[in-house]
Amino acid sequence: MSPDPDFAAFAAERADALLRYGYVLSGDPHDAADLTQEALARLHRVWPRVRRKDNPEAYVRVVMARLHISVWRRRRRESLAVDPPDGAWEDEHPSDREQGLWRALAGLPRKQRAVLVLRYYEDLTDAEIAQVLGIARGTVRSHASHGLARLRTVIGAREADRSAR
Amino acid sequence: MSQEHDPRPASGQPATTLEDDLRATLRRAAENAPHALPGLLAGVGRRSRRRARTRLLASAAAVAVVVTGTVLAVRHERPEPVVINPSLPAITQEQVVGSPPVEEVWPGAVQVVPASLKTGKRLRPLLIADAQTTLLTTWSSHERASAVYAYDQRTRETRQVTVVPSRKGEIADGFVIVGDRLLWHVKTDTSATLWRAPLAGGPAERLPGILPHVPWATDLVGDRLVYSAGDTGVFSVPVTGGDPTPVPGGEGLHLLEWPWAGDPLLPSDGVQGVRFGRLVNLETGEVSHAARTPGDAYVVCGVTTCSGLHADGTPYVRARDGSGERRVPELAHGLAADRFMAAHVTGRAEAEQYVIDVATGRSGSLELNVTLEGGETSYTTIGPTVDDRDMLSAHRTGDDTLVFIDLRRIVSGP
Repeated sequence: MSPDPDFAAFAAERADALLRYGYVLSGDPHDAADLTQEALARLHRVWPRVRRKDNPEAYVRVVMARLHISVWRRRRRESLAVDPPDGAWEDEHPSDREQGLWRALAGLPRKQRAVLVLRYYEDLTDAEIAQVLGIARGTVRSHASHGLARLRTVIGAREADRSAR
Repeated sequence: MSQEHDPRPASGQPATTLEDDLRATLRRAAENAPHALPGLLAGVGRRSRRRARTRLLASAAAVAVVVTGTVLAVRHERPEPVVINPSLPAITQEQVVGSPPVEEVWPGAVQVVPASLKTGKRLRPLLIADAQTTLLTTWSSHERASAVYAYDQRTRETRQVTVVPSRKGEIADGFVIVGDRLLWHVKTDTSATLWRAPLAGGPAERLPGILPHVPWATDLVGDRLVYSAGDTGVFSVPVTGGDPTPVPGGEGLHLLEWPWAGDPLLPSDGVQGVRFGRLVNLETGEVSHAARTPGDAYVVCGVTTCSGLHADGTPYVRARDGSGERRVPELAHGLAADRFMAAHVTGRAEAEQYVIDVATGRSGSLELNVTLEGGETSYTTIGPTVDDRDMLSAHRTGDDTLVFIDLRRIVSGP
Protein backbone atom coordinates (compact mmCIF):
# COMPACT_ATOMS: atom_id res chain seq x y z
CA MET A 1 0.00 0.00 0.00
CA SER A 2 1.29 3.43 -0.81
CA PRO A 3 0.26 6.58 0.99
CA ASP A 4 -2.31 8.86 -0.62
CA PRO A 5 -0.50 10.87 -3.25
CA ASP A 6 -2.21 14.06 -2.15
CA PHE A 7 -1.31 13.45 1.50
CA ALA A 8 2.30 12.89 0.51
CA ALA A 9 2.22 16.07 -1.54
CA PHE A 10 0.73 18.02 1.33
CA ALA A 11 3.33 16.70 3.77
CA ALA A 12 6.21 17.44 1.42
CA GLU A 13 4.94 20.90 0.59
CA ARG A 14 4.13 21.99 4.13
CA ALA A 15 6.91 20.22 6.04
CA ASP A 16 9.22 23.23 6.16
CA ALA A 17 6.48 25.56 7.37
CA LEU A 18 5.41 23.04 9.99
CA LEU A 19 8.99 22.62 11.14
CA ARG A 20 9.24 26.39 11.56
CA TYR A 21 6.09 26.36 13.64
CA GLY A 22 7.34 23.41 15.67
CA TYR A 23 10.60 25.21 16.23
CA VAL A 24 9.05 28.37 17.65
CA LEU A 25 6.68 26.25 19.73
CA SER A 26 9.42 24.12 21.24
CA GLY A 27 12.61 26.14 20.77
CA ASP A 28 14.46 23.04 19.69
CA PRO A 29 15.12 21.56 16.23
CA HIS A 30 14.85 17.96 17.42
CA ASP A 31 11.55 18.61 19.13
CA ALA A 32 10.37 20.47 16.05
CA ALA A 33 11.09 17.44 13.89
CA ASP A 34 9.47 15.14 16.40
CA LEU A 35 6.33 17.26 16.67
CA THR A 36 6.04 17.57 12.90
CA GLN A 37 6.41 13.85 12.32
CA GLU A 38 3.93 12.90 14.98
CA ALA A 39 1.36 15.48 13.94
CA LEU A 40 1.60 14.46 10.28
CA ALA A 41 1.20 10.82 11.27
CA ARG A 42 -1.96 11.74 13.12
CA LEU A 43 -3.18 13.84 10.23
CA HIS A 44 -2.65 10.97 7.87
CA ARG A 45 -5.09 8.70 9.60
CA VAL A 46 -7.90 11.21 9.37
CA TRP A 47 -6.80 12.50 5.99
CA PRO A 48 -9.92 11.66 3.95
CA ARG A 49 -12.19 13.45 6.41
CA VAL A 50 -9.92 16.44 7.02
CA ARG A 51 -9.22 16.92 3.33
CA ARG A 52 -12.90 16.85 2.58
CA LYS A 53 -14.26 18.97 5.39
CA ASP A 54 -11.52 20.81 7.16
CA ASN A 55 -8.33 22.59 6.52
CA PRO A 56 -5.45 20.09 6.85
CA GLU A 57 -2.94 22.77 7.70
CA ALA A 58 -5.09 24.12 10.52
CA TYR A 59 -5.72 20.60 11.75
CA VAL A 60 -2.07 19.67 11.89
CA ARG A 61 -1.16 22.91 13.66
CA VAL A 62 -3.76 22.28 16.32
CA VAL A 63 -2.36 18.78 16.82
CA MET A 64 1.16 20.16 17.13
CA ALA A 65 0.17 22.74 19.72
CA ARG A 66 -1.74 20.18 21.77
CA LEU A 67 1.03 17.63 21.54
CA HIS A 68 3.48 20.22 22.70
CA ILE A 69 1.57 21.01 25.87
CA SER A 70 0.62 17.40 26.53
CA VAL A 71 2.69 14.84 28.32
CA TRP A 72 3.37 13.28 24.96
CA ARG A 73 7.06 13.67 25.53
CA ARG A 74 8.20 13.83 29.09
CA ARG A 75 11.74 14.00 27.86
CA ARG A 76 13.80 16.98 28.90
CA ARG A 77 10.90 18.57 30.66
CA GLU A 78 13.42 19.79 33.21
CA SER A 79 15.10 21.90 30.60
CA LEU A 80 11.86 23.75 30.04
CA ALA A 81 11.77 25.02 33.57
CA VAL A 82 15.04 26.91 33.48
CA ASP A 83 17.09 29.16 31.28
CA PRO A 84 18.44 27.18 28.35
CA PRO A 85 21.93 27.27 26.94
CA ASP A 86 22.68 29.79 24.24
CA GLY A 87 21.19 29.04 20.89
CA ALA A 88 23.17 30.94 18.30
CA TRP A 89 21.47 32.16 15.16
CA GLU A 90 23.40 31.41 12.07
CA ASP A 91 22.56 33.78 9.28
CA GLU A 92 21.69 37.13 10.66
CA HIS A 93 22.58 39.03 13.73
CA PRO A 94 19.49 39.65 15.79
CA SER A 95 19.62 42.26 18.46
CA ASP A 96 20.70 41.33 21.94
CA ARG A 97 17.13 41.94 22.99
CA GLU A 98 15.85 39.37 20.52
CA GLN A 99 18.47 36.85 21.55
CA GLY A 100 17.54 37.51 25.16
CA LEU A 101 13.85 37.09 24.43
CA TRP A 102 14.42 33.80 22.62
CA ARG A 103 16.33 32.48 25.59
CA ALA A 104 13.78 33.81 28.03
CA LEU A 105 11.02 32.05 26.07
CA ALA A 106 12.70 28.75 26.76
CA GLY A 107 12.37 29.45 30.46
CA LEU A 108 8.58 29.63 30.28
CA PRO A 109 6.30 26.75 31.21
CA ARG A 110 5.08 24.98 28.10
CA LYS A 111 1.53 26.29 28.14
CA GLN A 112 2.63 29.88 28.59
CA ARG A 113 5.01 29.57 25.70
CA ALA A 114 2.38 27.93 23.51
CA VAL A 115 -0.07 30.73 24.21
CA LEU A 116 2.50 33.39 23.33
CA VAL A 117 3.50 31.59 20.13
CA LEU A 118 -0.12 31.25 19.07
CA ARG A 119 -0.71 34.92 19.80
CA TYR A 120 2.40 36.47 18.34
CA TYR A 121 3.55 33.96 15.73
CA GLU A 122 0.25 32.53 14.58
CA ASP A 123 -1.63 35.79 15.21
CA LEU A 124 -4.63 34.04 16.72
CA THR A 125 -7.19 35.71 18.95
CA ASP A 126 -7.55 34.53 22.52
CA ALA A 127 -10.80 32.82 21.59
CA GLU A 128 -9.03 30.90 18.84
CA ILE A 129 -6.15 30.03 21.15
CA ALA A 130 -8.62 28.69 23.70
CA GLN A 131 -10.05 26.40 21.01
CA VAL A 132 -6.68 25.29 19.73
CA LEU A 133 -5.36 24.35 23.15
CA GLY A 134 -8.69 23.17 24.50
CA ILE A 135 -8.58 25.48 27.52
CA ALA A 136 -10.79 28.28 28.82
CA ARG A 137 -10.42 31.75 27.43
CA GLY A 138 -9.65 33.11 30.88
CA THR A 139 -6.84 30.59 31.18
CA VAL A 140 -5.41 31.82 27.88
CA ARG A 141 -5.35 35.37 29.22
CA SER A 142 -3.80 34.26 32.46
CA HIS A 143 -1.07 32.25 30.70
CA ALA A 144 -0.37 35.16 28.37
CA SER A 145 -0.13 37.72 31.12
CA HIS A 146 2.06 35.51 33.30
CA GLY A 147 4.25 34.67 30.33
CA LEU A 148 4.67 38.28 29.28
CA ALA A 149 5.34 39.32 32.87
CA ARG A 150 8.03 36.69 33.16
CA LEU A 151 9.63 37.76 29.89
CA ARG A 152 9.50 41.35 31.02
CA THR A 153 11.25 40.49 34.24
CA VAL A 154 13.90 38.47 32.50
CA ILE A 155 14.77 40.92 29.78
CA GLY A 156 13.75 44.15 31.51
CA ALA A 157 11.14 45.45 29.14
CA ARG A 158 10.38 49.11 28.72
CA GLU A 159 7.98 50.99 30.89
CA ALA A 160 6.23 52.19 27.75
CA ASP A 161 4.97 48.70 27.06
CA ARG A 162 1.25 48.78 27.47
CA SER A 163 0.48 45.16 26.89
CA ALA A 164 -1.28 42.55 28.95
CA ARG A 165 -2.44 44.32 32.01
CA MET B 1 -7.84 42.42 34.31
CA SER B 2 -6.51 41.46 30.95
CA GLN B 3 -8.10 42.89 27.90
CA GLU B 4 -9.26 40.50 25.25
CA HIS B 5 -6.34 40.13 22.97
CA ASP B 6 -6.48 41.59 19.50
CA PRO B 7 -3.86 40.00 17.29
CA ARG B 8 -3.59 42.92 14.93
CA PRO B 9 -0.52 44.97 15.71
CA ALA B 10 -1.70 48.31 17.02
CA SER B 11 -0.80 51.09 14.66
CA GLY B 12 0.64 54.26 16.07
CA GLN B 13 2.14 52.48 19.05
CA PRO B 14 5.84 52.63 19.78
CA ALA B 15 7.58 50.00 17.67
CA THR B 16 9.45 48.52 20.59
CA THR B 17 6.85 47.06 22.88
CA LEU B 18 7.52 43.65 24.27
CA GLU B 19 4.81 42.26 22.02
CA ASP B 20 6.39 43.69 18.89
CA ASP B 21 9.76 42.38 19.92
CA LEU B 22 8.24 39.00 20.57
CA ARG B 23 6.75 38.94 17.08
CA ALA B 24 10.09 39.83 15.55
CA THR B 25 11.94 37.32 17.69
CA LEU B 26 9.62 34.47 16.74
CA ARG B 27 9.75 35.34 13.03
CA ARG B 28 13.51 35.45 13.05
CA ALA B 29 13.80 32.26 15.07
CA ALA B 30 11.51 30.52 12.58
CA GLU B 31 13.98 31.35 9.82
CA ASN B 32 16.52 29.26 11.65
CA ALA B 33 14.24 26.29 12.02
CA PRO B 34 15.41 22.97 10.59
CA HIS B 35 14.48 22.14 7.01
CA ALA B 36 12.72 18.97 6.09
CA LEU B 37 15.16 16.34 4.89
CA PRO B 38 14.18 13.39 2.79
CA GLY B 39 13.38 10.64 5.23
CA LEU B 40 12.08 12.91 7.94
CA LEU B 41 8.63 12.24 6.60
CA ALA B 42 9.32 8.59 5.86
CA GLY B 43 6.95 6.43 7.74
CA VAL B 44 4.46 9.23 8.29
CA GLY B 45 2.29 8.13 5.45
CA ARG B 46 2.79 4.41 5.84
CA ARG B 47 -0.18 2.42 6.78
CA SER B 48 -0.73 -0.88 8.28
CA ARG B 49 -3.93 -2.55 9.20
CA ARG B 50 -2.48 -5.96 9.69
CA ARG B 51 -1.56 -7.34 13.02
CA ALA B 52 0.23 -10.39 11.74
CA ARG B 53 1.90 -12.00 14.70
CA THR B 54 3.72 -14.36 12.37
CA ARG B 55 5.76 -11.48 11.08
CA LEU B 56 8.28 -11.82 13.85
CA LEU B 57 9.11 -15.33 12.75
CA ALA B 58 9.47 -14.17 9.18
CA SER B 59 11.93 -11.51 10.22
CA ALA B 60 14.03 -14.00 12.18
CA ALA B 61 14.32 -16.10 9.05
CA ALA B 62 15.33 -13.04 7.06
CA VAL B 63 18.10 -12.30 9.51
CA ALA B 64 19.50 -15.78 9.12
CA VAL B 65 19.59 -15.44 5.35
CA VAL B 66 21.41 -12.14 5.48
CA VAL B 67 23.99 -13.43 7.90
CA THR B 68 24.83 -16.50 5.84
CA GLY B 69 25.00 -14.28 2.80
CA THR B 70 27.90 -12.36 4.24
CA VAL B 71 30.06 -15.41 4.81
CA LEU B 72 32.19 -15.78 1.75
CA ALA B 73 34.62 -18.54 1.05
CA VAL B 74 37.88 -17.08 -0.16
CA ARG B 75 40.18 -19.58 -1.79
CA HIS B 76 43.60 -19.76 -0.29
CA GLU B 77 45.89 -22.72 -0.09
CA ARG B 78 44.12 -23.52 3.12
CA PRO B 79 40.60 -22.39 2.36
CA GLU B 80 38.81 -20.79 5.24
CA PRO B 81 35.73 -18.67 5.36
CA VAL B 82 36.23 -14.96 5.73
CA VAL B 83 33.45 -12.91 7.22
CA ILE B 84 32.98 -9.70 5.32
CA ASN B 85 32.02 -6.88 7.67
CA PRO B 86 28.46 -7.93 8.37
CA SER B 87 26.54 -4.70 8.44
CA LEU B 88 23.59 -5.45 10.67
CA PRO B 89 20.32 -6.19 8.91
CA ALA B 90 17.83 -3.37 8.69
CA ILE B 91 14.89 -3.32 11.05
CA THR B 92 11.87 -2.55 8.89
CA GLN B 93 8.44 -1.36 9.80
CA GLU B 94 7.02 -4.51 8.27
CA GLN B 95 8.94 -6.60 10.79
CA VAL B 96 7.80 -4.46 13.67
CA VAL B 97 4.11 -4.18 12.85
CA GLY B 98 2.10 -6.92 14.48
CA SER B 99 4.69 -7.68 17.16
CA PRO B 100 3.25 -9.32 20.29
CA PRO B 101 2.57 -7.21 23.38
CA VAL B 102 5.67 -6.04 25.24
CA GLU B 103 4.78 -8.26 28.22
CA GLU B 104 5.05 -11.32 26.00
CA VAL B 105 8.25 -10.21 24.32
CA TRP B 106 10.01 -9.26 27.57
CA PRO B 107 8.28 -11.25 30.31
CA GLY B 108 9.53 -10.35 33.75
CA ALA B 109 10.52 -6.87 32.64
CA VAL B 110 7.03 -5.48 32.13
CA GLN B 111 4.48 -4.46 34.74
CA VAL B 112 0.94 -3.40 33.92
CA VAL B 113 -0.69 -1.18 36.49
CA PRO B 114 -4.08 0.54 36.91
CA ALA B 115 -3.88 4.10 35.68
CA SER B 116 -6.30 5.58 38.17
CA LEU B 117 -7.23 5.42 41.82
CA LYS B 118 -10.60 4.11 42.96
CA THR B 119 -11.59 7.74 43.34
CA GLY B 120 -11.02 8.15 39.62
CA LYS B 121 -7.93 10.32 40.06
CA ARG B 122 -5.38 9.83 37.25
CA LEU B 123 -2.07 8.21 38.12
CA ARG B 124 1.15 8.99 36.28
CA PRO B 125 4.14 6.68 36.01
CA LEU B 126 7.06 7.53 38.27
CA LEU B 127 9.50 4.64 38.55
CA ILE B 128 9.96 0.91 38.98
CA ALA B 129 10.78 0.05 42.59
CA ASP B 130 11.36 -3.69 42.12
CA ALA B 131 10.11 -6.62 40.05
CA GLN B 132 6.67 -6.40 41.69
CA THR B 133 6.31 -2.77 42.61
CA THR B 134 5.89 0.42 40.64
CA LEU B 135 5.57 3.96 41.94
CA LEU B 136 3.03 6.41 40.58
CA THR B 137 1.99 9.98 41.26
CA THR B 138 -1.11 12.04 41.12
CA TRP B 139 -0.87 15.59 39.83
CA SER B 140 -2.31 18.69 41.38
CA SER B 141 -1.78 20.56 38.12
CA HIS B 142 0.15 19.96 34.93
CA GLU B 143 3.30 18.01 35.81
CA ARG B 144 3.06 18.93 39.49
CA ALA B 145 3.20 15.79 41.58
CA SER B 146 0.92 15.89 44.58
CA ALA B 147 1.20 12.40 46.08
CA VAL B 148 3.14 9.18 45.46
CA TYR B 149 1.50 5.77 45.36
CA ALA B 150 2.90 2.24 45.15
CA TYR B 151 1.23 -0.56 43.22
CA ASP B 152 2.03 -4.14 44.17
CA GLN B 153 1.59 -6.78 41.44
CA ARG B 154 1.07 -9.57 44.01
CA THR B 155 -1.65 -7.96 46.09
CA ARG B 156 -2.93 -5.80 43.22
CA GLU B 157 -3.30 -2.97 45.61
CA THR B 158 -2.39 0.67 45.34
CA ARG B 159 -1.29 2.34 48.55
CA GLN B 160 -0.23 5.88 49.25
CA VAL B 161 3.47 6.30 49.98
CA THR B 162 3.54 9.98 50.78
CA VAL B 163 2.10 13.38 50.07
CA VAL B 164 4.44 15.60 48.07
CA PRO B 165 4.47 19.11 49.47
CA SER B 166 4.96 21.79 46.85
CA ARG B 167 3.79 25.32 46.45
CA LYS B 168 2.66 27.03 43.30
CA GLY B 169 5.60 27.50 40.99
CA GLU B 170 7.50 24.58 42.47
CA ILE B 171 7.98 21.23 40.81
CA ALA B 172 8.86 17.95 42.50
CA ASP B 173 11.16 15.93 40.28
CA GLY B 174 14.08 13.51 40.13
CA PHE B 175 12.52 10.76 42.25
CA VAL B 176 14.99 7.97 43.10
CA ILE B 177 14.98 5.13 45.58
CA VAL B 178 17.71 5.18 48.20
CA GLY B 179 17.54 2.04 50.32
CA ASP B 180 14.12 1.99 51.94
CA ARG B 181 13.41 5.61 51.16
CA LEU B 182 12.22 7.71 48.28
CA LEU B 183 14.35 10.79 47.56
CA TRP B 184 13.43 13.72 45.31
CA HIS B 185 14.00 17.41 44.86
CA VAL B 186 11.57 20.30 44.74
CA LYS B 187 12.71 23.09 42.45
CA THR B 188 11.85 26.71 41.94
CA ASP B 189 13.21 28.84 39.10
CA THR B 190 16.54 29.28 40.82
CA SER B 191 17.11 26.64 43.47
CA ALA B 192 16.03 23.29 44.83
CA THR B 193 15.60 21.45 48.10
CA LEU B 194 15.91 17.74 48.80
CA TRP B 195 13.07 15.73 50.30
CA ARG B 196 12.59 12.15 51.34
CA ALA B 197 9.92 9.80 52.60
CA PRO B 198 9.90 6.15 53.72
CA LEU B 199 8.86 3.77 50.94
CA ALA B 200 6.79 1.88 53.49
CA GLY B 201 4.66 4.99 53.82
CA GLY B 202 4.95 8.14 55.88
CA PRO B 203 5.27 11.89 55.77
CA ALA B 204 7.75 13.69 53.55
CA GLU B 205 10.69 15.26 55.29
CA ARG B 206 12.73 18.15 54.00
CA LEU B 207 16.48 17.53 54.17
CA PRO B 208 18.94 20.18 55.33
CA GLY B 209 20.60 22.47 52.82
CA ILE B 210 19.61 24.26 49.64
CA LEU B 211 20.90 23.45 46.18
CA PRO B 212 21.69 26.79 44.53
CA HIS B 213 20.86 25.20 41.19
CA VAL B 214 17.94 23.82 39.24
CA PRO B 215 18.82 20.16 38.69
CA TRP B 216 18.07 18.78 35.22
CA ALA B 217 19.40 15.27 35.27
CA THR B 218 20.14 13.26 38.40
CA ASP B 219 21.77 9.95 39.18
CA LEU B 220 22.46 8.08 42.36
CA VAL B 221 26.10 7.21 43.05
CA GLY B 222 26.63 5.40 46.35
CA ASP B 223 25.43 7.69 49.10
CA ARG B 224 25.51 10.80 46.96
CA LEU B 225 23.05 12.30 44.53
CA VAL B 226 24.82 13.54 41.41
CA TYR B 227 23.10 16.13 39.26
CA SER B 228 23.78 18.54 36.45
CA ALA B 229 22.25 21.97 36.37
CA GLY B 230 21.97 23.87 33.12
CA ASP B 231 25.34 24.89 31.77
CA THR B 232 26.87 25.27 35.21
CA GLY B 233 28.09 21.72 35.43
CA VAL B 234 27.86 18.58 37.51
CA PHE B 235 27.49 18.58 41.29
CA SER B 236 26.98 16.07 44.05
CA VAL B 237 25.27 16.23 47.41
CA PRO B 238 24.87 13.63 50.19
CA VAL B 239 21.54 11.80 49.97
CA THR B 240 21.00 12.89 53.57
CA GLY B 241 21.17 16.55 52.55
CA GLY B 242 23.83 19.19 52.95
CA ASP B 243 25.87 21.37 50.68
CA PRO B 244 26.55 20.36 47.10
CA THR B 245 30.09 20.24 45.77
CA PRO B 246 31.16 20.49 42.12
CA VAL B 247 32.32 17.26 40.52
CA PRO B 248 35.85 17.92 39.18
CA GLY B 249 35.97 17.99 35.40
CA GLY B 250 32.20 18.42 35.15
CA GLU B 251 32.14 22.16 34.46
CA GLY B 252 29.64 23.03 31.74
CA LEU B 253 28.69 19.38 31.18
CA HIS B 254 25.32 17.65 31.34
CA LEU B 255 24.96 14.40 33.21
CA LEU B 256 23.88 11.51 31.02
CA GLU B 257 24.54 8.47 33.17
CA TRP B 258 27.21 8.37 35.83
CA PRO B 259 30.15 8.54 35.27
CA TRP B 260 29.38 9.94 31.83
CA ALA B 261 28.53 13.61 31.31
CA GLY B 262 28.81 15.50 28.06
CA ASP B 263 27.85 18.23 25.70
CA PRO B 264 26.24 19.74 23.85
CA LEU B 265 22.80 19.16 25.26
CA LEU B 266 21.31 21.44 22.65
CA PRO B 267 23.70 21.86 19.72
CA SER B 268 24.18 25.44 18.56
CA ASP B 269 24.81 24.33 14.98
CA GLY B 270 21.20 23.38 14.28
CA VAL B 271 20.14 20.00 13.00
CA GLN B 272 23.69 19.09 11.98
CA GLY B 273 24.83 19.34 15.58
CA VAL B 274 25.35 16.11 17.48
CA ARG B 275 23.62 15.99 20.83
CA PHE B 276 26.04 14.55 23.42
CA GLY B 277 28.70 14.33 20.70
CA ARG B 278 31.35 14.61 23.40
CA LEU B 279 31.25 12.58 26.59
CA VAL B 280 33.59 12.77 29.55
CA ASN B 281 34.05 10.02 32.10
CA LEU B 282 34.04 11.97 35.36
CA GLU B 283 35.86 9.18 37.19
CA THR B 284 38.75 8.63 34.78
CA GLY B 285 38.78 11.76 32.62
CA GLU B 286 38.40 9.65 29.46
CA VAL B 287 36.85 11.61 26.60
CA SER B 288 34.70 10.03 23.89
CA HIS B 289 33.84 11.80 20.64
CA ALA B 290 31.04 10.33 18.57
CA ALA B 291 31.85 9.49 14.95
CA ARG B 292 30.34 11.97 12.51
CA THR B 293 29.19 11.43 8.97
CA PRO B 294 28.96 14.58 6.83
CA GLY B 295 25.38 15.48 5.99
CA ASP B 296 23.84 13.62 8.91
CA ALA B 297 21.14 15.36 10.88
CA TYR B 298 19.23 14.93 14.13
CA VAL B 299 22.03 12.87 15.63
CA VAL B 300 21.58 12.11 19.33
CA CYS B 301 24.17 10.05 21.16
CA GLY B 302 24.08 8.10 24.37
CA VAL B 303 26.88 6.39 26.27
CA THR B 304 27.49 3.70 23.64
CA THR B 305 25.19 4.39 20.68
CA CYS B 306 23.87 7.16 18.44
CA SER B 307 20.78 7.58 16.30
CA GLY B 308 20.32 9.92 13.37
CA LEU B 309 19.34 10.54 9.78
CA HIS B 310 21.73 10.24 6.83
CA ALA B 311 21.69 12.89 4.13
CA ASP B 312 19.84 10.49 1.82
CA GLY B 313 17.05 10.21 4.36
CA THR B 314 18.01 6.86 5.88
CA PRO B 315 17.27 6.70 9.61
CA TYR B 316 19.92 4.70 11.43
CA VAL B 317 21.35 3.64 14.76
CA ARG B 318 24.97 2.71 15.36
CA ALA B 319 27.72 2.60 17.95
CA ARG B 320 29.32 5.88 19.02
CA ASP B 321 32.41 4.96 16.99
CA GLY B 322 30.27 4.59 13.86
CA SER B 323 30.41 0.78 13.73
CA GLY B 324 27.52 -1.67 13.70
CA GLU B 325 25.20 0.58 11.77
CA ARG B 326 21.64 -0.56 11.37
CA ARG B 327 18.77 0.97 9.43
CA VAL B 328 15.63 1.50 11.52
CA PRO B 329 12.01 2.14 10.49
CA GLU B 330 11.91 5.77 11.51
CA LEU B 331 14.07 8.51 12.92
CA ALA B 332 14.79 7.90 16.60
CA HIS B 333 15.50 10.97 18.69
CA GLY B 334 18.04 9.17 20.82
CA LEU B 335 17.91 5.62 22.17
CA ALA B 336 16.66 4.81 25.66
CA ALA B 337 19.26 2.85 27.64
CA ASP B 338 21.37 3.02 24.45
CA ARG B 339 19.25 0.50 22.55
CA PHE B 340 15.48 1.11 22.65
CA MET B 341 13.39 3.25 20.31
CA ALA B 342 9.71 3.49 19.52
CA ALA B 343 7.92 3.31 16.19
CA HIS B 344 4.47 4.77 15.71
CA VAL B 345 2.30 3.17 13.08
CA THR B 346 -1.00 4.67 12.05
CA GLY B 347 -3.47 2.98 9.83
CA ARG B 348 -6.92 3.83 8.62
CA ALA B 349 -8.58 2.03 11.48
CA GLU B 350 -6.06 2.06 14.30
CA ALA B 351 -2.81 3.41 15.59
CA GLU B 352 -0.21 1.53 17.53
CA GLN B 353 3.21 2.13 18.96
CA TYR B 354 5.99 -0.42 19.20
CA VAL B 355 9.14 -0.53 21.30
CA ILE B 356 12.15 -1.82 19.37
CA ASP B 357 15.34 -3.21 20.89
CA VAL B 358 17.80 -2.26 18.16
CA ALA B 359 20.48 -4.51 19.67
CA THR B 360 18.47 -7.68 19.10
CA GLY B 361 15.91 -6.52 16.56
CA ARG B 362 13.10 -7.67 18.85
CA SER B 363 10.03 -5.49 19.13
CA GLY B 364 6.91 -5.43 21.26
CA SER B 365 3.59 -3.67 20.94
CA LEU B 366 2.65 -1.17 23.61
CA GLU B 367 -0.96 -2.25 22.96
CA LEU B 368 -2.26 1.29 22.93
CA ASN B 369 -4.99 -0.19 20.70
CA VAL B 370 -6.10 3.20 19.51
CA THR B 371 -9.20 2.92 17.39
CA LEU B 372 -9.34 5.61 14.78
CA GLU B 373 -12.83 5.16 13.51
CA GLY B 374 -15.31 7.79 14.51
CA GLY B 375 -13.23 10.90 14.16
CA GLU B 376 -10.84 12.57 16.52
CA THR B 377 -9.26 10.41 19.19
CA SER B 378 -6.90 11.68 21.82
CA TYR B 379 -4.12 9.36 22.83
CA THR B 380 -0.61 9.54 24.14
CA THR B 381 2.47 8.00 22.62
CA ILE B 382 5.90 7.81 24.16
CA GLY B 383 9.08 9.53 23.01
CA PRO B 384 12.08 7.55 24.22
CA THR B 385 15.37 9.42 24.29
CA VAL B 386 18.86 9.19 25.75
CA ASP B 387 17.68 10.52 29.10
CA ASP B 388 15.59 7.39 29.61
CA ARG B 389 18.11 5.08 31.23
CA ASP B 390 15.93 2.87 33.42
CA MET B 391 12.43 2.46 32.11
CA LEU B 392 9.80 3.40 29.57
CA SER B 393 6.14 3.74 30.35
CA ALA B 394 2.99 4.31 28.37
CA HIS B 395 -0.69 4.85 29.04
CA ARG B 396 -3.01 2.25 27.54
CA THR B 397 -5.94 4.56 27.18
CA GLY B 398 -8.48 1.91 26.26
CA ASP B 399 -8.19 -0.26 29.36
CA ASP B 400 -6.81 2.61 31.46
CA THR B 401 -3.60 0.94 32.51
CA LEU B 402 0.00 2.02 32.62
CA VAL B 403 2.64 -0.26 31.20
CA PHE B 404 6.15 -0.04 32.68
CA ILE B 405 9.09 -1.56 30.82
CA ASP B 406 12.17 -2.20 32.95
CA LEU B 407 14.97 -1.51 30.49
CA ARG B 408 17.72 -2.40 32.95
CA ARG B 409 16.22 -5.84 33.41
CA ILE B 410 16.11 -6.44 29.65
CA VAL B 411 19.65 -5.18 29.16
CA SER B 412 21.07 -7.31 31.98
CA GLY B 413 19.48 -10.39 30.43
CA PRO B 414 17.39 -13.20 31.88
